[in-house]
Amino acid sequence: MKKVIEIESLHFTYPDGTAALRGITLEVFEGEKVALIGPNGAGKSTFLLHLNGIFRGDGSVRIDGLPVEKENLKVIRQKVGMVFQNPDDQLFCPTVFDDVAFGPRNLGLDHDEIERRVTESLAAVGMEVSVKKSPFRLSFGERKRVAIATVLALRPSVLVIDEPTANLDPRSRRATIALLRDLHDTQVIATHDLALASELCSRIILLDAGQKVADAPTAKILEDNALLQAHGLV
Amino acid sequence: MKHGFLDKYSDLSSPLHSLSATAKVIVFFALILVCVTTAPSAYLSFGGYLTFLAACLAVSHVPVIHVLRRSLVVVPFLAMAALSIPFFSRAAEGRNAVTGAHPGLIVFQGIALKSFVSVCSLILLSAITPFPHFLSALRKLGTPRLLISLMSFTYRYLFLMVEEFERMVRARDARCYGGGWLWQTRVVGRMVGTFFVRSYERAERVYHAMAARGFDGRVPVQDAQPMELKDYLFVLLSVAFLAGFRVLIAPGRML
Repeated sequence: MKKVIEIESLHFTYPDGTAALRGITLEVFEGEKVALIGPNGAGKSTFLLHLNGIFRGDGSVRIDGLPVEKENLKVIRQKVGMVFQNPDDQLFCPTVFDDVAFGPRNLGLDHDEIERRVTESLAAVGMEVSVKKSPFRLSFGERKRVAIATVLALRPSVLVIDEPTANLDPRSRRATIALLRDLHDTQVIATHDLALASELCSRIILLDAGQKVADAPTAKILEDNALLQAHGLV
Repeated sequence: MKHGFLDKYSDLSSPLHSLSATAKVIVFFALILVCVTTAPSAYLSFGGYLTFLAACLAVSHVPVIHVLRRSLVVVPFLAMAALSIPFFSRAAEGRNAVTGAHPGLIVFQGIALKSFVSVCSLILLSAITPFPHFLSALRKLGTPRLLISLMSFTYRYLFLMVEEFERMVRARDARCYGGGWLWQTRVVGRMVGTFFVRSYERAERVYHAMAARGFDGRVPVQDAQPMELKDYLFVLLSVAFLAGFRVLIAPGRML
């Protein structure tokens, strides 16, 4: 199977001296849905930001064989679609159309192709009717869905999502899980929602204190109560 | 929080709403220019400008009370202008000779008329033009991209930041906030400082989100709706009407 993400010995320290990642090595294969779990402060979000070069630590990060370096960033950021935890950080344009079109416009696509991608992406998340609305007029759940659409418009091969079900009501949560299940890309999902991991993901990687503690099939990790308890997950 | 959206009523349906944003921006900015360069005593000219505004208001179905309520924003500035009346000297003898009025009153009258007409123009423009279209029109008319993106981000995040500050105020009040003025000043000062840091961190996260979608420093702006025959006709007739009241009724006199 093709390796889509290859990380080797990744270290990252914030400017204030906090060692956020301490030697992470892992691989993700094409078509896999992988859950990244861990307590608060484990380094999940920091790790995700290395996958598209927002942060660049010491060690090797390769996406589809391409090293995450300055000259490859444009290509990598098209391949790796990142959905941030807070949709208000991701929706910064005056209308939903503009937000979803932002990525394709940066790719230099023509007007017709941009319109087509916006329509398709919003349809994929069930938000076609909101195309002319301003993001601050949408509910939180609707903003989360539009945030996913903004990334789908780039047609990424890897979807990286930070806490997709955080702060969602049960109905919106179920709708989000159904949406992610229908998207066939490779997915890396950082989450505290173990039920989501169980429903969606074939594999779980457990991070704690910047290190990879476990990497195994979902059922094996979720059965290991002692492991989950030791790392503050139950 | 109930947001007072800048472009309230811009989603109505009327002949004025259906015109291109570029045409509307040209006409209403022309109205402001013409009004500001008209002498305060040219009452007929101001009558013409107000008639034009009233006609646009009637055609657009925007409630009059909305425009009048928002135009109250000029009151503090007029109050300040009124305070300066006694300080005007008899230097403006020409105008005094015509009306016999104190020169300060003449100036105040000019400020009041011009600010009221200008503010009503902008309020009506914002009520018949969705804000993103307004920005696209400004871009088409030559406004630098950087300014457009600044206005866009300000509008997008203004309500979010106000809500965040309101939450801080609520949290403060829930803990029996009170005491002497010095203590209160220190508390508010620290809140403002924290608010700045939170805004800065949000700006960083937004930048990461932009970079994650391929942003390379050039801000893409949606293309403005192209102008059609009805837009050109609207611009031509409106500018002719306004220029007529400016040039034919009160030629040359500006102040």
